[in-house]
Amino acid sequence: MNELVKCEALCRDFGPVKALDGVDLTLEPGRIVGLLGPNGSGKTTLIKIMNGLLQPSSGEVLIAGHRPGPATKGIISYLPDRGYFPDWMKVGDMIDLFADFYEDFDRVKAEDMCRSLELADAQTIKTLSKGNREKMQLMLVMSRAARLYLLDEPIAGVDPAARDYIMHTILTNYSENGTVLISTHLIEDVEQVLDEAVFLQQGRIVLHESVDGIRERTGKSVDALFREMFRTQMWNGGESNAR
Amino acid sequence: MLGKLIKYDLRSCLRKFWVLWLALAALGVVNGLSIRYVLESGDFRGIWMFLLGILPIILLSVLVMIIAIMALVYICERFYKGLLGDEGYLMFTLPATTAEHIASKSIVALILELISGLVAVLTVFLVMVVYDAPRTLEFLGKIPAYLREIPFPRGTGWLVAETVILSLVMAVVSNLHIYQAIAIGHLAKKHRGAWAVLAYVGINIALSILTFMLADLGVSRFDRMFSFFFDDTGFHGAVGAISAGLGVSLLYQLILGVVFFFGTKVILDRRLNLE
Repeated sequence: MNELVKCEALCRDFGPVKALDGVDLTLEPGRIVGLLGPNGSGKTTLIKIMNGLLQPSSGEVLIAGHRPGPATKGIISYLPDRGYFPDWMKVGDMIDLFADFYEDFDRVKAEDMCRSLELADAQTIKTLSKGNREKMQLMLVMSRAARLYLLDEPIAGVDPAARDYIMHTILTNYSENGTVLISTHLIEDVEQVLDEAVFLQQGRIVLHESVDGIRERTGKSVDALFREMFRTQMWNGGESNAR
Repeated sequence: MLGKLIKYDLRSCLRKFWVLWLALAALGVVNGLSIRYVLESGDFRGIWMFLLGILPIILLSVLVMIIAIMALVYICERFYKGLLGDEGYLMFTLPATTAEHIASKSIVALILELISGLVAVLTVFLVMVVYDAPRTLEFLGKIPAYLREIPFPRGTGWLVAETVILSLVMAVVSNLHIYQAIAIGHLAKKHRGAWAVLAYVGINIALSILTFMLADLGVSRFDRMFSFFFDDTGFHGAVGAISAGLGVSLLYQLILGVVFFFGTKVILDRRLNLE
């Protein structure tokens, strides 16, 4: 058995809305996987379930053979799609907290990265700019030698230069034996680094294939294929405009 | 992991309250000085009397109330925002169990209540010392002698210990009651805060009915037990009867505590939904 992540018939309903609808997914160690889909396709829901922050309505997810719990949280490094550090804490406090709780946390690496951004230990989180706050979260998450990195929309809402910084930070810091799952809809920015792509549409996996396989089979880039598959019918102004 | 969680929660708590505790102690000193000035001057009229004799006491009372309210708000907020708000993304991805999270919040809430109570007692002591240190120290020195003269019935020490334990357990259970209500509110899709308040009130009503039924059921037995102690051993026996009553209350509170703790744990384990 070489499965790091195994989802079986995973469903999650929010009232009448099916956020996940029978997801079967297996991820192996040492891969960089893009979880790709338009907004509302279920990417965040899937990542939250893997983290144990949300419970599935039915089905099961196993991380290294375990259901989400303290054992899996010790090997998952998670970057949510929002700020989640308490405002009152200082940069140094957050480094201490990660060092306290995660055995795989590399304090020296985290401190070096903070220095590169000129973040002082004594700075409180609330005094950091939005961009620096996001970068700091990413730095702490990537300072762990985790077996699974779950990065939820790490490049959403940032300028192209910041995207480059974020992607560089991810690629130069993840543990080589670890698997990185990056959820995004900005495929062009991540395509070059992906080993596999998972397309999610309305809570269902519509494609899970290696990036090389996609290019060979379709003759298109992942981004081009994504645009083709998820293209929304344009509204041309109705019949009166068509005349 | 529990120790690490407590360390983190305690830092968050002390950061907010140390200034208030310090202010309370400082107001204690101000009150001692103002009482001394007013009594020594013998002038009990006019604006000075209000400014020096009454205002400090009002401020002290208001601050005590503020600390009590803030402690209650803090206990609710730390659980609600700390576990079920954005910070929950951090806390629930730490390799700790849900039981450890609840235990950490409960222990820190108890520490907050104990320190606040201790600072309040210390403030009264400060008022007395600043007002008249020699007489206060003389009075405090005599307390052991006074206590020795009182003919405490046998078992009084045990009774005091039971009362202290029951008070601590009741404090913990009342906080667990809040956590249980917040967890129930978390089950709702919308207006979770309002549902939590409703759940709190609902649990209170249910407990009142239960307590009434239990009291009704047990009153005849307690009466017999009380009569037995009184008839058998006179005044000393009353201590035994009260002690037995406290024991029953302690057992009741412990059962409630276990129900609230595991009720909260089950909801957070099985129905956690951080949106």
